[in-house]
Amino acid sequence: MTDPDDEYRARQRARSVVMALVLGGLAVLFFFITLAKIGQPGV
Amino acid sequence: MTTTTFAAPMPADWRDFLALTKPRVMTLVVFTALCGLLVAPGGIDPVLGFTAILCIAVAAGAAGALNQWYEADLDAKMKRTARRPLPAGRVDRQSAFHFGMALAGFSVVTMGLATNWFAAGLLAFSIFFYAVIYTIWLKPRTPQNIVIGGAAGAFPPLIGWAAVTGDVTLMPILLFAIIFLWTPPHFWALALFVKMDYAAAGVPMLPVVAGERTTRHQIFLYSLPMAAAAVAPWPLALAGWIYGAVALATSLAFLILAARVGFPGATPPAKMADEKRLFAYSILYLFILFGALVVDALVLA
Repeated sequence: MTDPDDEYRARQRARSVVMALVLGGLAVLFFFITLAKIGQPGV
Repeated sequence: MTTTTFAAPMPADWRDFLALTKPRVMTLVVFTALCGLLVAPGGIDPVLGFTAILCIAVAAGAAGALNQWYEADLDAKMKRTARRPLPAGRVDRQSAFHFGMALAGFSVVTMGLATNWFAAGLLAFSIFFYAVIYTIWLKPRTPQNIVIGGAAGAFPPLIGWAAVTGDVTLMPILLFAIIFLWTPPHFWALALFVKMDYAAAGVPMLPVVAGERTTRHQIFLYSLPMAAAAVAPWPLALAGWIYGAVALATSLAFLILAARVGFPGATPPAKMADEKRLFAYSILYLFILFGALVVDALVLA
């Protein structure tokens, strides 16, 4: 039988990892959006 | 002190949050949005175009999450939806609401920053339309609810276009009209051969409220203006002959299938073969139609 504490922490950890990936992805996306905007004529 | 049990409830699995966004519905959203973006005049930076499609997909996820937040009680009463994260108790309602609102906020703001605020406004309105006007207001009140829901699903190509041009002209409105008018025949064909327990949940779906005969007639009636809207860009010189030929042929086939479903004749169709054919073809039809539009725009440009 698995310890409920382990399951609790495993889910917390998985959620943290997913959240980190999403936020990291958002930062990278905004970096490239900025580059694209700088490259646009008239901006 | 030893802790054998946690006082706090088990945190939801992240996959349950992903399920709240209805990922399978997103395929058509992404595809039609991409087509709207690609046929819009002027073109867009690939990074900004990618961001626009991402925002439209995330906004659709937000709308799906808010829809499930509101309909948790209703979903619990239907076999098809009872195992969704909320009715199954894997995610609590408040978390689902916060998740949906966060996705909505991020998608709209990012769309505005990356493309233009007109497209962002349209995106915000489309979420509001699906979550509030459709889910909360009209779905429980009218048997034409699928028609209203179709309007919500018709926004993506319009927003994809607006992300490029910053405005909405006749062409994106026609793209909107095609999906809007396509949805009722598409969904009601499914409703004819899949016995959905909407009656148990008290949702006034057309086959439940008005009967099978009326539903069949409505399927055919909606496919007439749908076919007209699909072919229209060609004579209006908004698309070339490639799109025109494809639209004419595929819409004619749609009309024939819809007529067979609409007027099944004296012998009642036992196995619902025509209905299943229309449903399967309707999905193919939309992909071919929008695909042809992009090919036409790229080849004849």
